[in-house]
Amino acid sequence: MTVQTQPSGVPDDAMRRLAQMRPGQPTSLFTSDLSVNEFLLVREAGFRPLGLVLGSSIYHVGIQFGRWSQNRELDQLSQAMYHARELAMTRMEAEADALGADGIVGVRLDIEFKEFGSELAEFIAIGTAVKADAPPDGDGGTWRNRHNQPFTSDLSGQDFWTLIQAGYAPLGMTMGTCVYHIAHQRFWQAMGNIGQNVEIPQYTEALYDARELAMSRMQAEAEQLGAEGIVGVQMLSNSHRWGGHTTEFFAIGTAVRPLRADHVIAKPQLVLPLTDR
Amino acid sequence: MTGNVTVDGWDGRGLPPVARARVERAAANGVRTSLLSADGLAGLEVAGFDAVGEVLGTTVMQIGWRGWGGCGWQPGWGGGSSFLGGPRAGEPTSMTRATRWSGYEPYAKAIRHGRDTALGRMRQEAAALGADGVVGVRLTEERMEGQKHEFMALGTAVRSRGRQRPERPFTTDLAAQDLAKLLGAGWVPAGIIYGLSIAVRHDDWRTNTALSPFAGNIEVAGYTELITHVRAAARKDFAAQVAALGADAALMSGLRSRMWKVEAGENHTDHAAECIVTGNAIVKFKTGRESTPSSLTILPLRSIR
Repeated sequence: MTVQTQPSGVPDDAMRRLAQMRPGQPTSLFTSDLSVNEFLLVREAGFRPLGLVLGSSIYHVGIQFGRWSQNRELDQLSQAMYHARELAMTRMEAEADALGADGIVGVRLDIEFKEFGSELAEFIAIGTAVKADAPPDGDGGTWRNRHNQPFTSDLSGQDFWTLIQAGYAPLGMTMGTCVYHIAHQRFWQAMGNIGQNVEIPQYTEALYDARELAMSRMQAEAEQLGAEGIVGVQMLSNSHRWGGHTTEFFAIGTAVRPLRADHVIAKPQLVLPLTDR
Repeated sequence: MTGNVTVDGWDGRGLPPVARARVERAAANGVRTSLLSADGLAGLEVAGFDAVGEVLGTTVMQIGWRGWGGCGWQPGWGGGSSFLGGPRAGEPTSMTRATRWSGYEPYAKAIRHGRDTALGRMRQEAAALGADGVVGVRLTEERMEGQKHEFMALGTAVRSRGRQRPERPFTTDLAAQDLAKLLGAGWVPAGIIYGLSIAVRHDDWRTNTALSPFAGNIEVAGYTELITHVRAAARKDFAAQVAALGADAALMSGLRSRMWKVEAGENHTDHAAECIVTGNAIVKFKTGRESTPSSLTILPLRSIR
């Protein structure tokens, strides 16, 4: 983004406006948690922020019973992690829908385990609902997805701008999760490996299995939305409070559809910043 | 706060004598101080402003009486007690409005007073320096020993190169670079705004069964309602403050919420939650044709570490 140097005296308009401000005058107010850069870029991409939207769920994660000597998915925990996120996301989408939004940008999805209860966590989804100035060209002419729900995107304002420039539209956030237990090694096997540099196949396989499950679940969601692909995928692994052998593998990304046939963006100008960072 | 007079003879109104002396000296000798980075100064230049000086507002408050921490639920009154104007069992009770159930009202009032005083004193310093606004404000709340809280607002006062002056200095926690970008796009920050809400909810059989170890995967609906309630109330308060200022929009810079256990009585706990939403109210000054920034696709020639 470039800003033209204002000739001296230009902030006059701004200062005059501040001087004219009257408490309580009727305005079409919106709130957004976008940064200034994101706010301006989202405006430039042709979207108006309508307001901050959020959804939340405080969830009690059940106890998993099972044999700890096997590599296995802990389906009880997987279901909890998925269901609670789904609740938070759905509530956020409902808020956006009530505002008449076309979509939600800059979505953040957080989990916070509570100190006052073991197995108790808050899942929260927060983003900015936006409405387009004009419908997209081509098929059907709507920014909403095929379920007539506002699109969701966890891309930053900058990435969102670039995506729109390149002729793609976000459809929705897609996610897949898998909580996996890696078997404890048998005693004799562990003894046998002492002092050796060897691959531990059951560890490798467990990590493969878990990631594959998470990613294929995310992919299935994208297929349901009729997406062309998923961008900005993050593959996260987090053991939350479950100790070293139990890990959640979580895949999340934004499913996109093409808006037009060519996907060319303006050739970037090369710049040499005079800063270290 | 009045009634206490310090050895310097300050009664808590206006600026403390040392701050007054510093500001007067800064206004007289023309030495300019600022908390800006080199980039920030360049941004300020682009926006058509000059740095005038660093400004500070601070207050230390004792927050001892948090209020009566109960939830309004009395077993003898059939739980509901709604005929007395109290909350129905299982409903979150807002504690920031003055009702007979407003248990945390003193606490919420103290937080508001602390923040407003710090921001107000900072603005007084800025006005004394002839500034039009304060940029890059950091508003902090620090817990000191005992029940004392320090509220501090620290920023760089700036003055427009033009002739127009606002009625009172604007404040913003945005960096000077962001100020330049906003002005370029036809928006100007009007003031730092925050919304606050505290509520408490009685722990009943619904929450207790959901929390039992054998409950399985289940949403604790009571707690979700509580946290949703405080967030919604804080956002509503925030929007109301923005509207009361006469601004057009707000860019939220922080949403902080927490939930904690309250020992309401013997063998009984409740849960309370609070939420503070902080942000910048902004107003549009370019009317007529919609003004948008022009962005340029660039590729920085450096390694990204």
